[in-house]
Amino acid sequence: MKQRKLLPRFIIIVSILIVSIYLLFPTFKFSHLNGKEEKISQQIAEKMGVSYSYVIENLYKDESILRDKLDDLIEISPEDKQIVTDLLGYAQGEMAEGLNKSRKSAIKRGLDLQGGMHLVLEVDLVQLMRNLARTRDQRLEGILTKVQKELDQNPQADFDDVVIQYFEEEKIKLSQYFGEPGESNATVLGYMSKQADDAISRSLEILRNRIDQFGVSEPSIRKQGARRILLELPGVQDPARARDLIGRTAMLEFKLVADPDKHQQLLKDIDKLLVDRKKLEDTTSTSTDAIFDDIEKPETTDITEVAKADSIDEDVLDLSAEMSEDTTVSDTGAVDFSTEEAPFSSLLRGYRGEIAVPSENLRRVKAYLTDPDVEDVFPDGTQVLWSAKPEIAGDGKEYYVFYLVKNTSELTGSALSDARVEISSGYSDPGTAGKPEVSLTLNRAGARKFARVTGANIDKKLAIVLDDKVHMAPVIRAKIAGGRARIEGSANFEEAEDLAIVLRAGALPTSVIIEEERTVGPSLGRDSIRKGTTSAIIGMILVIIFMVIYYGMSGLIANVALLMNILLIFGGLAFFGAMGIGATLSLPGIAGIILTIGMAVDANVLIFERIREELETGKTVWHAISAGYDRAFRTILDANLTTLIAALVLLQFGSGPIKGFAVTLAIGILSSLFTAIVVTRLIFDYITSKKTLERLSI
Amino acid sequence: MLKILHNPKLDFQSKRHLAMSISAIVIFIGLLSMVLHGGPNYSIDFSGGLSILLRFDIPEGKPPITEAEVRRSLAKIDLANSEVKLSRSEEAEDILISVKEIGRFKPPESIIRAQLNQKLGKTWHIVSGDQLNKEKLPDLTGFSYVVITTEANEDELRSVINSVDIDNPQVIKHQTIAGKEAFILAGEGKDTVTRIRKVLSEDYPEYTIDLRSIDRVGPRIGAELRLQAIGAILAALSLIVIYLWIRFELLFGVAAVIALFHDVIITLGIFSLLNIEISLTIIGAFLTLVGYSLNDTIVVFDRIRENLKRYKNKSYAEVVNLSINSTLSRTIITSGTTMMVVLVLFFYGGQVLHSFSLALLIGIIVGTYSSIYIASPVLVEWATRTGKAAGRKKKVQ
Repeated sequence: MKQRKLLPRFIIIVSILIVSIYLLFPTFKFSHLNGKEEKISQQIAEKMGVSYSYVIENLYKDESILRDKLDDLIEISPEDKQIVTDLLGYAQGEMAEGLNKSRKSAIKRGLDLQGGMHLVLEVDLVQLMRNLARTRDQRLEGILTKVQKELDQNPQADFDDVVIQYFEEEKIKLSQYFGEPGESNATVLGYMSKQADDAISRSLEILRNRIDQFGVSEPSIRKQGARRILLELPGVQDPARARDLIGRTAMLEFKLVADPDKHQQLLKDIDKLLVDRKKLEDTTSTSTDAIFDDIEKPETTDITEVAKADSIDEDVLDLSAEMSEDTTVSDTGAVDFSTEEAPFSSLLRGYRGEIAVPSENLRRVKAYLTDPDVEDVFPDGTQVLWSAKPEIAGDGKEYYVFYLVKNTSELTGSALSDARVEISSGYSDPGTAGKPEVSLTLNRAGARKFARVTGANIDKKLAIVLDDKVHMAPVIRAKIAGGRARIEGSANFEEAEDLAIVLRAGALPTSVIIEEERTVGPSLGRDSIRKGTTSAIIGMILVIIFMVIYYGMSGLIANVALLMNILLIFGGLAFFGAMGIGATLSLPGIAGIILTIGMAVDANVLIFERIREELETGKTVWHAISAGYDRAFRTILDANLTTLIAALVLLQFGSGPIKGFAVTLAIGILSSLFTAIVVTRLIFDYITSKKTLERLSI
Repeated sequence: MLKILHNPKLDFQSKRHLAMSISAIVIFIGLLSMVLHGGPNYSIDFSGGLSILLRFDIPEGKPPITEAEVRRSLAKIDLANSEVKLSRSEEAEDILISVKEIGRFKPPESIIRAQLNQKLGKTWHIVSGDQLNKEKLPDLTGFSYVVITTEANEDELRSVINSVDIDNPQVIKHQTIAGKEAFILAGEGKDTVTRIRKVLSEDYPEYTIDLRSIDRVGPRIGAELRLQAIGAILAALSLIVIYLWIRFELLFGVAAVIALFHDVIITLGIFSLLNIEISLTIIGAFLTLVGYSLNDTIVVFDRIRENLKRYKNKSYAEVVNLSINSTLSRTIITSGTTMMVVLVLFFYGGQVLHSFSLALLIGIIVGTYSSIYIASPVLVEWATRTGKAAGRKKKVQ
């Protein structure tokens, strides 16, 4: 037999090693910073006398929260205060940046390790029927209660069958309550099935609209199958609040947007207020609160009174007049976009005739707007809302549009009966022909109200607000009396469809039920990692010692392969995780790695036992090694491929943690095949190439 | 160098009938236990229900809490038949509470909505307290359900709210809206997890309670998962038969799968005897042990295939016995190293992996046994009965 070349194999192995280490670098960095984050947060919590979870929760939420809290503390010594300030500066600056950078390419940790919530939501079909019914009475309620009971007791029953069964029992047709009168049961069920699909889209849109309120850095919301929503909230601190947020009914409102000059005026007023406050602080160092307390605050108006007011003009004028009287600085007239002159408006930009905020300034702008003094500058009965999704401007930056709206709604979602995407016929404006538009249908009461609102506010903008976020603010072109309206201006079909879903979300309440919830607290996640790591290290040491005792030098070679195998598994996890294949490290995954440690030496045991047998037949060392590898190879391949089959089946079946286990097991099998056969063989070949061995330590 | 059981020339085949009888008895006891328990003991993953893990920090000088005490507290909130499991360490104890089949899990709002709908049956609008404008309405922040209605009278509302499943119910009379008197009906949601935590922290105020994990599975998903798990195990087994059919021959595949069935049924039986629940993770462990046990079986089969060609003058049973003997040291070593790490996992892996590693532990022992005493004897029996082995002897003669 010819001696095989060493160098090409050596180069391949070394490059694979280097790639693995390179892939693992972000993971090392991330876990290092993660440990640091924990330590720093604990230090801050201790010095400030607050709970650790409070610090963690607010560390990145808003830079000012902890700083403000620190400023309010009285008992804290100046040294400690300085220490906390420095720590905060580091944590929110350099460390946060490092964490964000390394997180993307680090090994993804499953929810069971990092803590968090995993939820599977379904539409409550019985509730949906209740909502869809043309009339609701005791009889219908009785049937629906029975349906609900049956479904609870027999979860595998088909919904449609159960519904039909109970309606037939009462000897009535579905069309008595649903769809059009006289329709067959099958038609009605088909219609309801479409409604159920639509309900999932609406719920998805509602949840996406609320995504920032969950307060986690990487929430994930996606559709699972046809009728389910999968929601993952890593690191969520308050599961009860998250659950509540999911169950909440969506609120769709139509609100009048203040005229552009009111927007400008508000910016000027806020700037002026901030400049004045700064000057006062600089010159007299008197508490601003004391001075601004003297300004009479506008009284809050009763719900009915505001509703009567037709326009907000007077309030705005009143307030600005008040401001110029009470403040000593004269109005400069023009808005100067410099930081000193215009601390607020310099954070804003004009965007297609509207005022927008670049996403990096959003947090500061929002902080200004919640300042009680600034809130007082708002025209009476108005509020500031933001666009739901950022606009991407020509410079590639994200902008959120700023809307000053009346805080009472002109119309709510209950006024709507439907919203559909249609392709414009170009009847009113030939330029729009062929473009998608959203067509609204209002119910009778809604139509009456809509006619009044549109008639009184022609050429004004009407914002479509879902859960306090503006999805669009079309201009009212004419009085709309017929109960049907069209919204133009969607850039493409998808955008129009999204808007239609938002509108329907408000029109028809959807209730989702949580079919599955798995929440892991952060402390359990930390414990799991610690225990998993401890077990892995102890197990590995035991195996390593055993191999050396049993196989001597050859055992050492197998151990090199074992260590490299573990490195490759982690490298593989990082690689597949970064590729987005869903390779996450879960607790069962760690168990999988530990199991692999035990099983990985199997290939080497097979080879070594074969070599021993061959040596017994009197072969030379080199021939025995060669024959041992050749003979064992087929066995190893068969044995591992069958385990791989089990792992792949598990990958198809499993969800979450089990999937993580299957991925690790599969990666482990492949990498242990490589290390146990290729790597150890290279080492043996290298040793035997140096000198002819008389005896082999095996 | 050390050598364990190096080609010990043991006669396994003569004891195959004894081994098969032992297996049959163990399987029978396991199945009997499952029948007596009314089927496998499914965890909430498959049966649907709620399971929460709480950690009690035991203050100095205080006694640890017992299972009976926890049960007594749970009985107060009508959860008397929930399962309570305790595991204690020096400074804290973990309490796992499982409540099975508590129906559908909705966000409480939809329950309230349904109840109100039934009781009120008139126009009403339900919102969350946090969504309301604090300036215009009394501060209802924190209330999960706020119903504003102008259609009912105060007495009617009071009777409704008292019959509805909410905490801290209130009826607030509000100003007139559109010429009618408006009432606000407000309350907080009831949630099983919240109720359990509340009753325990009321009963044991000195202990700090940390919520470690919550698992809730609706009955529909539970039923689906059960089907999926059975499907997954069957799919894995049939794929393995096909693979072995291609690589060896059908007989080997069938023998291997019979051994695998044997392993899974025995492990299930032992789990039933020990009253350990079958959860998703346990299914993961089963599939792993399917792969592992197969690993062992294939090593032996591979040697049988090789030796059948090599020793043409030996009988089928002899070849099988020889092959088992020559691979015995490998079988013992690999099972030993794997068992070593699984034992470490069993003792240090923590509560979550406890039954997972136990399943593997049982699986490794049974799997090793079955590749020697079940898979190979099946091969011999089958070959003898179908005349394959006989034909072989004839050829040699």
